Amino acid sequence: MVNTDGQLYTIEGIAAGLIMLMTAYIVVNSTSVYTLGDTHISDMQLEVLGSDALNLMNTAPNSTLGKSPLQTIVETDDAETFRSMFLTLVNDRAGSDRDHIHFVANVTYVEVGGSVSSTVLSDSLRPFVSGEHAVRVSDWVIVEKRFPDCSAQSCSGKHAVLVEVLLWRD
Amino acid sequence: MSIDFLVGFTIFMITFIWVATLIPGLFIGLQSHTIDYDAVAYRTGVILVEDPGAVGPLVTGNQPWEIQNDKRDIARFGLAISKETPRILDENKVNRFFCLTAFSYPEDYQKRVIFGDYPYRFNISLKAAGEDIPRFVGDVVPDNYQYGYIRRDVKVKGFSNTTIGNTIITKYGYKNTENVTLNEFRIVINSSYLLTGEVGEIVNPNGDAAYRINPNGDRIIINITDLDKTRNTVAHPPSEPYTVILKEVKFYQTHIGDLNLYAFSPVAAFENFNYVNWSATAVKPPAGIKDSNLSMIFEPGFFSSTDKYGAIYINVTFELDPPQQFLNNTRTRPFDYNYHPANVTQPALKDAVMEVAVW
Amino acid sequence: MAGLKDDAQWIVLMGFVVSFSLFFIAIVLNQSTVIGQTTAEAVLEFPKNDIRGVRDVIIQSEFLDDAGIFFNKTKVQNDIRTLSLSRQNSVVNLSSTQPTAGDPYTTIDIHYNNGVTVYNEIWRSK
Repeated sequence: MVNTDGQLYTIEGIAAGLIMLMTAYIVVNSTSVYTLGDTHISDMQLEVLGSDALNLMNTAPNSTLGKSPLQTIVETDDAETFRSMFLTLVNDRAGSDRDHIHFVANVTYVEVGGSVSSTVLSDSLRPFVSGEHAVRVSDWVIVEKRFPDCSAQSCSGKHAVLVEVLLWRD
Repeated sequence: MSIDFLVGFTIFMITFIWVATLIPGLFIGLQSHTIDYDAVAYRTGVILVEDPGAVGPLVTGNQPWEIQNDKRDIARFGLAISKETPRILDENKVNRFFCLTAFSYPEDYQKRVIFGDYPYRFNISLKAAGEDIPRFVGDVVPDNYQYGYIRRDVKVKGFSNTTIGNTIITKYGYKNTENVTLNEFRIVINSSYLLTGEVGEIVNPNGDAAYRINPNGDRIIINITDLDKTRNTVAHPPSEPYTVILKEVKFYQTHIGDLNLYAFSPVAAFENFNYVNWSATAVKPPAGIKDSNLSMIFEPGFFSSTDKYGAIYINVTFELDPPQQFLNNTRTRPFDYNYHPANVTQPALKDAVMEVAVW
Repeated sequence: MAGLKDDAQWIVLMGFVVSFSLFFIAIVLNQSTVIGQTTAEAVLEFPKNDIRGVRDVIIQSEFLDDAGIFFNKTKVQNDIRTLSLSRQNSVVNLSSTQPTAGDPYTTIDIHYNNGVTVYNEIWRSK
């Protein structure tokens, strides 16, 4: 009953078992469970919110004023107003608690020589440590402003500038 | 059946059973509907905030969805004023959307804003700046399991109104040459100019719908006050009692290119809305005297049957005792309900937050 | 080895069958968990707000004056092209016609291309 033939069966059994184990190990190790941070869904929600807020700041509140608040802020370099308006818009919720989103805002413009440079407009008083997931939103404004590096007269008049805001959630 | 065969087979089966128990662990992250929730919430947010809504195929003309009486005529909800003004919501549409007596949760909303075969449950809330309690539609948001979520910032465009008091009456010289008991006051709402003319200081031709007064769809409130202050105070001192009786209010409209006045009766549709009146039975038109002030509140849709490119004339006749000269503009121009901020309080844009949760 | 038997090979064959089915399941799973991710990525990748913003500012710029020493309209439109290219990675071309006696409308021809999405529009004033 017991002979060397049996070793063949045993070996085959062990070999098959080893193959299955190896496969299972490889498969289980390679499929990963996606966490919320990986799926970019929170990035999308943040980007939608940020562009809403920036766009609403660029809308005049009634027809008598004509100028939007953002235009006035860029023309007068008013960091305080930008900060309070933007943080209110972005952190208000329908319930009573508030969200905690922070930002850094720049104004990008074209210099007289044709090159592009930017100045800081405002920030939320919290430094950006690069560990957070940040999203950038931007909006166009037509302003009448002389930028700092402009000394020639042809710098006056209207410019189209991009207000860019980097925002992240704490 | 040799033992060796059995041993080999046993080793194989044990390993197979153990591997088979590992497999369900691979399926932990896989639940098709939870992956969808954020996508459905995002899509619902976009439909509500950036789309003006759509009516069903049987509706004739360009009637907007918010004045339809039959909900089968509404194909899709949308709160934006128009396609060119995303994120600016119409107060009319907001009121109609959150009206739970007109639409029932969840079927009516699912077919018109959520879409899809799976019966998603949802909660849509809108809170305006300065208000404590949000308006909402749907179930309470769950605490203990995952839901898809999106938050949008919006502005809600309110309605315009005007108060014609002593300042305006004096400024435009609305007076007769002699004291009369029966005074006639005319107001013109020039739809053609309101819809196509210049709006205040706004230069951008793309987003002007956010600031326009739309007589066909907006609520218009006209208050006439200071009725007693405009009379001769020497002959009739302020302590002398006076009476104001509203005799009649007549509506006329003109059509584009045609200067004749045509009478018109307001559409029956407006009777479905509640409006303020000071008598026990419903009164046509919605105007009344209270505390010696005349107030006319034209609900949304009141003027919807008029020509969009014509003008609307409102003739108010009242009897004032003692007689006076003021508040009579039959010999001058009618009061123009236009974009001048001194004449009319313009529609203002109020900040608001909308949240959509889907599960 | 002597007496190499073929009978036992069916055990190894079963082992292989199980392994292959495991790999197949793993591939199916891998594709399915990506669904939620692709929706969010598609939303992030489509430049809806960029296109709307550029379109709005182009229409506004068309109604600026182009006279005097400032040449506002030309300058602003050049700024738009430069900034679009450098900050939003998109090429924006525009041309416009002013109202004439025969055609009382302003027409603007807008082209936007960010490498992945192309948007063309002919805007006409009311």
